[in-house]
Amino acid sequence: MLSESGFGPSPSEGAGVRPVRHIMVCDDDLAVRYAMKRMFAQELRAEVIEAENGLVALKALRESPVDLLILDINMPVVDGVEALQAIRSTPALARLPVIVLSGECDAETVKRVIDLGVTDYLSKPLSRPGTWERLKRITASLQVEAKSQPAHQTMSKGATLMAGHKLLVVDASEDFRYFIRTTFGTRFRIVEAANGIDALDIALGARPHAVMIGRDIPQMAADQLAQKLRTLKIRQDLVLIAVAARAELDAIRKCGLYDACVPRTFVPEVFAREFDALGPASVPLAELLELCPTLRAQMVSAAEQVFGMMLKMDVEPRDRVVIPFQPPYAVAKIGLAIGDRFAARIDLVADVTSANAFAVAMFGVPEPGEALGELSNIVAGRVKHALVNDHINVTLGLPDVSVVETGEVDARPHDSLGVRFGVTSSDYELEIRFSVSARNPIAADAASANKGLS
Amino acid sequence: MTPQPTGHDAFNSGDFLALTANDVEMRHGLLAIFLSEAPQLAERLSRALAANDPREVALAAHALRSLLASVGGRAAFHCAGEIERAAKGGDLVAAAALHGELGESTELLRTALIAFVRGAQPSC
Repeated sequence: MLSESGFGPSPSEGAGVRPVRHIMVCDDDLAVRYAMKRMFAQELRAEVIEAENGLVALKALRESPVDLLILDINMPVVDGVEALQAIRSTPALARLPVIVLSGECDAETVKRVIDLGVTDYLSKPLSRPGTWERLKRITASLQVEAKSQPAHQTMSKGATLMAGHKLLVVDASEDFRYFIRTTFGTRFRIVEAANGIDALDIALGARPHAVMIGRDIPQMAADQLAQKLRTLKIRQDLVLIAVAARAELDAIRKCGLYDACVPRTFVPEVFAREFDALGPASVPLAELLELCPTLRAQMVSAAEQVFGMMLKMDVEPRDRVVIPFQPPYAVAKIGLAIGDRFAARIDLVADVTSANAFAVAMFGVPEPGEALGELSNIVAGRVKHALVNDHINVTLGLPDVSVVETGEVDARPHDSLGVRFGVTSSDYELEIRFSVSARNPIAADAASANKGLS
Repeated sequence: MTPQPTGHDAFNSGDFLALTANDVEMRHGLLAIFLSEAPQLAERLSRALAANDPREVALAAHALRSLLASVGGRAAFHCAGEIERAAKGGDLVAAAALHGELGESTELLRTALIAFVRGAQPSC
């Protein structure tokens, strides 16, 4: 059945058009790629380029123009719909014939793909009667310009490495990227991307600590990129920052995709001030997270479990919220030595009125110091237990409770892990924070870590 | 040689031949891919089930399903599809219950496919 011919060179070949000769097969299934490569080569004499997911395909399309793309939908990293969106938004690829071959028959997906523009949509499996015949027929009917321009355009890709944390700046404007580079280049290792696909590619390789995303980036919408970076879990503590006109910030915040939104400005002092308020993670934290990648998750889990179980209350993340505590306030600190290089500290903060109410609710007596100390001890113990299970050496200090009469509670401790949780009842409000510092070498006496961040 | 489908049989040579036709080398190639990829995908599925991760279970089952379709493994293909559907619906209990059946039908497929490709009679 498959040996029949009839798909040889078109009579019009050499007269300005030629049959499809270069085909890309983008599918995560090796068997499908292998079978199609073999069949296209044997029956259509076409050269097949393989791509195992949408990102590989998009990168390859820049280097190797093709006449036709056979595209699967359900793939890891960048799926077929995302790849198609990127292709259609790239001028040089906008008219590339694409045949979707997928086992995905969800009506919404099919509609999205068709709306984006495809030559045809075929259902898997490839062994389904008639599928291969139809694919051959469609492919043979496609004729391309014999002297067509390369179906790709070269896109700029910048990577500037400097000391400090790694910040990926994704913005279509070279001027803006230059501005960030000059404003923050001495503080962070800046990596740049001018479009969404480059950003994704760079993020997967460079694993930045933070990604700053401008709004009008080509090839992939900003929110789509943010969503993708979250899904791919490049880092557990990846910070996503939207940069947009002030008028847009509220709407962007409401979408919940970003950790922070910063107004777009070219005034260094203004931008730096806005950016500083985010409290970007610094090198000791980054190093600690290399040692212990689950630390943030463990901390979150501990806060949720302890607060939830003991207080029977919902815990709300307060990563970016400044709680307006008024002095006097109570702080329970407990230190942990993690490995032989890091000190970490868990702080439980409440104003004194809240702390009293909390102590009465917990223990029936107005002993706020004891109550806060006990709670911080339980949270720290839970964190320690989890880390020890991960074979990380952890030593716990003793709770150190103090009442601070004046001044302000540090809204965001230095080197914050971005873990701040709060509980609010009608009687009291508590906040738990986690912070780290590098002490090289740190004494293995965790009690000293209590003071290490003071 | 165009056997008729017989339902969810472990190996349907008709499906396999629809793809490979008279290309013997391609049959061997697909067998080699199946033998190397199937255990990895099965392991990925097992890990996802153990980790109670519905999204990863669905992705792993989908990947396995695609491979099984290329080698005529109807029963395992059907089973992987059920696991994918269950996982997408968040029902990992149902997905886990089908896991054993998937393993058994994949093993039957492996035996039949090897026999078929290496020249024995088709099993259906």
